[in-house]
Amino acid sequence: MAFDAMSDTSDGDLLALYANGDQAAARALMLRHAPRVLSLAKRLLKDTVEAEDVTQEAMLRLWKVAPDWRTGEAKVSTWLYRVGSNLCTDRLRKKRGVGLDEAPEIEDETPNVEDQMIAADRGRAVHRAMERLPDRQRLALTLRHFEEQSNPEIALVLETSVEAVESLLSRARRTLAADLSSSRSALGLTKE
Amino acid sequence: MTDNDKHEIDLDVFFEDAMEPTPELDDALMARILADAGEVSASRQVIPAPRQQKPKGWLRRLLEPLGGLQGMAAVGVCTVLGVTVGYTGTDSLQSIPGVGDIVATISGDPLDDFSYGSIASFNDFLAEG
Repeated sequence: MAFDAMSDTSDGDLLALYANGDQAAARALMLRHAPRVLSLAKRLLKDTVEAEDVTQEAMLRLWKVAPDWRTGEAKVSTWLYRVGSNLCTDRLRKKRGVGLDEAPEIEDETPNVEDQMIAADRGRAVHRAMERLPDRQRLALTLRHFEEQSNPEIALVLETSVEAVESLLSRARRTLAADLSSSRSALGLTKE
Repeated sequence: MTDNDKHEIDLDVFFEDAMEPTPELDDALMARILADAGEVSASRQVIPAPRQQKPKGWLRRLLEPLGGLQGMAAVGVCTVLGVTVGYTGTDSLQSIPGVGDIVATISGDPLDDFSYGSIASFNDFLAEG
């Protein structure tokens, strides 16, 4: 099947096509899902090279399960987020001991305008504060606010209940808010 | 507005500022991912498919429920033997080496020499009336 004709094809059908040797289906799946895995991995690992390795590994696992994929049991995106987040967690555990000061900074690509600088500062502040959160809270927040996943979808990724996700998010937001509140005025947040 | 609500509003601003566009895959990463996909497909195709069995002939299919060729051979031999004995009597079997003794043993009445008196308990039973 031609690649262009695959834009409307469901993930399950693409996996079945790939399992039958259709490499164009693999390309379509990669373009559809790999960027989101990369985005999550970059946010969690703060390292582009490692995030790319995680993305490649997550996609490799997808290729391997393709023949056994049962359409309707899981969404490919959710499955990939789960595999990706587990791979990131493994890498973070191995990296434990690396101090916060050694963590790479997020690149600042904003123009030199005061408002945008303040916004960029806020962005960096939230990233730094999120790094101090426990892994599962950070993952839940990342999926909710940056990957725009719903709570039931996050529950599937974390293999827990929706209530547990709500609890995780609530605790994460409280911790984050407390962490950021000290620098709120310095960061230009005037809404009090 | 509760304290929590204030945090929520503040956090939304933070999250908005921390949003980044979904990254694009660079060519090298795409090549690596697609190479993996190709390798996995290739490794799957190397596994030989189960060999298809040749279709069985009508004679083989007919004989199979009866024990196949071996079963039918045994049935054939027994039939020939039975017909031979039926026509010629057991005399014809005497000529077969080893079979003659067996035929001689079973051809007479095995109860010729039997007498109820030889059973001790039977005599006692008769004596008691």
